Amino acid sequence: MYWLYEIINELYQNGILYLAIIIMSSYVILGIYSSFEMNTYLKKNSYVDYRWIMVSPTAPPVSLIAPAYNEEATIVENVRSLMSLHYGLFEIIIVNDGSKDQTLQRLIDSCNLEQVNFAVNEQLETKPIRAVYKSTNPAFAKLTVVDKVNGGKADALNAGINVSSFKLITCIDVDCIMEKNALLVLVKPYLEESERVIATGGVIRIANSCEVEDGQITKVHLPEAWLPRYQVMEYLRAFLMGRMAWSKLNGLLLISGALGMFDKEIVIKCGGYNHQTVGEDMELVVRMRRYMHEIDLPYKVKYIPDPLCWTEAPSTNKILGRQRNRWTRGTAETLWLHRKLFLNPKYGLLGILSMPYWFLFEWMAPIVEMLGLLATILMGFLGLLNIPSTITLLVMVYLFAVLMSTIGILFEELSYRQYTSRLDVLRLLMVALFEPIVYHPRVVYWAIRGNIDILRGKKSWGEMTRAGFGPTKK
Amino acid sequence: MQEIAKELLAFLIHYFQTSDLIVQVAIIIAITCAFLTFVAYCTVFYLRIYYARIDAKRKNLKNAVEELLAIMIADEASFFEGSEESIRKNISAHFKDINLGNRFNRDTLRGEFVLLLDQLGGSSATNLKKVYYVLELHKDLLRDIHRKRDWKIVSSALHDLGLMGIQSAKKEVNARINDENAFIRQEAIVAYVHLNPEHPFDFLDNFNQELTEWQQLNLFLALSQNPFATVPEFKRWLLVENEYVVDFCLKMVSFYNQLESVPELLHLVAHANPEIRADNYYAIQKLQADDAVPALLQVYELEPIPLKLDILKAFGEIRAEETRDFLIARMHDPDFSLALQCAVSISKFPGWGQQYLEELLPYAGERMRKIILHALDKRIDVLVV
Repeated sequence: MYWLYEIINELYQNGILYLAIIIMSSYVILGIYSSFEMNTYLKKNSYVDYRWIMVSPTAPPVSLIAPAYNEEATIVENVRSLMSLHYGLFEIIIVNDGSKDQTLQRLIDSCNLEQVNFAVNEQLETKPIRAVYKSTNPAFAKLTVVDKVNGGKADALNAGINVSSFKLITCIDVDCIMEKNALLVLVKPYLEESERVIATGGVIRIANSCEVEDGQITKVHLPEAWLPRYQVMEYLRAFLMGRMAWSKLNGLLLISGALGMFDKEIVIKCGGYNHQTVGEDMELVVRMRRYMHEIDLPYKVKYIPDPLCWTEAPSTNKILGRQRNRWTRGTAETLWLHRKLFLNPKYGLLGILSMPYWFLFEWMAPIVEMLGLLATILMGFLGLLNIPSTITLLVMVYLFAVLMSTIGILFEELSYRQYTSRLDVLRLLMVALFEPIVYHPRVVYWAIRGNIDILRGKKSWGEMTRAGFGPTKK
Repeated sequence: MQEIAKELLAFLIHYFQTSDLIVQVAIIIAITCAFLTFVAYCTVFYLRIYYARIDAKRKNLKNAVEELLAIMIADEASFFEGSEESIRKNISAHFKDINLGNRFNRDTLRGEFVLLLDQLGGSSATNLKKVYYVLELHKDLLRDIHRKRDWKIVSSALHDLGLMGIQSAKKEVNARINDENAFIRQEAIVAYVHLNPEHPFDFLDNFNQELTEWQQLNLFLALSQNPFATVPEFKRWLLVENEYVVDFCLKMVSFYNQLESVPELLHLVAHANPEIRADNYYAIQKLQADDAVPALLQVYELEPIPLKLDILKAFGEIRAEETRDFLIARMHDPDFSLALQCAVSISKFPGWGQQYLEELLPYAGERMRKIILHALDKRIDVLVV
């Protein structure tokens, strides 16, 4: 039986090592690509004054669409903040998605709204629109409010698209804080690329514990609670090291639902947001890319590393768990819906690289980790485990994870240096040490739960309770 | 401690030597990761200190320069009047306490000048450029253009030279008008506009590269922000081969209301490129060129929906009587957006437009009713494109 033990042990150790090497290599390659892309981006924009776009008559007008559901507490403040964005010609479309509270009434009262005879061009199917409102106050000339029957975020966005006037649409979460120049920065790739840009997205940063004044971030702090801190670390790695690389390769599959600018014509031709999936943001981008391949037109999806949008990260395990559960389900649904692309050379890099990568390293990775853990436990019970070797392999994986996080912090220091306090940077470096042990297992667990929920047929978003950005720190 | 460390090291070496290949590979990877993490940590700390020092140096220099420049610009008579030689002496003497032999100082000064130029106008801006020239801050940039291959350095140099009006850079600028590198090319063409205010767009005669919308935007800004620049008749380039140039000139014709371009616009109605035709229709709309109406009526049915919309919008602005029946007929177009645009265009006709729609309303079906009510509601479409 010794030979059997040897074979099992070899398979186990080889499996871990080779898988680890494959994952590590992919992260290293992505990291290298990201560094080149970041470098180019920072160089070419080092002396750009985005106000130029604002004053130019040739800058394309933009429709900003924000679904709102039960946002009575903050909707007026959010709308005022959006009204003050720096851009030449843009409209703001707030879609009240059947709120049960006073969201609509608050808007009507504060913005002097009255119902208008708006003929909606129903290019995308949505739940019925009850009314469209415009303001009698010229100060709110940019604002259109759509009141509709509840249909979910995707449905609300589609309604906003139907009502929008301009060729570029920006879809946002109404409770995020947008940087004043966000539209200016997002629109630039549409102007400077030779190929047609169909989507652009920017970095979403975490606003927990940041100082907020008049709807703007005035000073950035690392979150005081550990859970959001871990998420800061995740976001730095994902945005600065992951998405920049995919943008350079033109293989990006995801523009965050919190902030993305899209070519409306292509969105409509693809059928708009899919309200059958909880990952509607990723699914739309994949469908748009798929469409462009199928009509054989060159295109780009660009990612911008500038911090353009600030959001509140979940600060409890319950809420964060729901979010990650939904992200996993969204990823799985999208991969399944577009399984035809998988390893299909007709779809170029999208099919050959992006889809397999997301399948293996984004969706399957937690499953493989869980199976690895179970195998380790089983082998331990059976007395087949070579403990020193196993510990060595785990230490290797841990140190690599710490390295990647530290490089993510280094990227941040070389680029935007949002965390001006040295203490915050030190804390972030500490987070890198604890994250693989304390936080990552929870992420894996939630991802597994998400996959189980898919098998159970769960479709809901789950309630995402937000505490709000809180009082200004002094 | 030393003993413990030695024993630990001996143990690790023994463990490494007696392990399987897989474990050895894992140990090497782990040690490499640990080492690189340590290097990354040190780099993060070093960068903090480095940037803090650089920022402090820069801030001190900026404050000093701002004071000097404020004095000079406030007291123009003392510094900028008199012979060329005396002006030079005054300026140089004023900056004697700043070590201009240091490249960091010169780079900081250049950045400060560019920022200040953005805020100044008229004679103050001219004087600022004089100071820049007298201090010979442009010489580094001219050297960089010759010696450096990094596109960022070359394009940044061209940017500053153009902005500061350094005439001696003309040769370098002209040589890079058609550069294959898009960033260098952009800065070269913008610098050309700055350095040739009387004929800022003559380079378009020989321009054979792509001109992206971003580059077009920068060209427009270079023209509009320079009070000494002569706005040319852009119709000169409306029929050239380079479609990017045609596209840019169409936008300029629209913005500057160059009515004399209408014959060329008529010619462009038949252009093969739909993007050119779209910009052309917008120019026709903006100029309210009623001469173009017959041509637009002819091509309407051949166009895809987005361009049909542009034509209908143009009709709404031109409001020519010969489009009346055309618009009325197409209010029943199966495409909702076209039908709606027809109604909106009709509503803009003085006198009969609104009246016609109001009279039609009681007899309209549900779809038409929505369209008419939208067209008649002046609270909608207040944002003008």
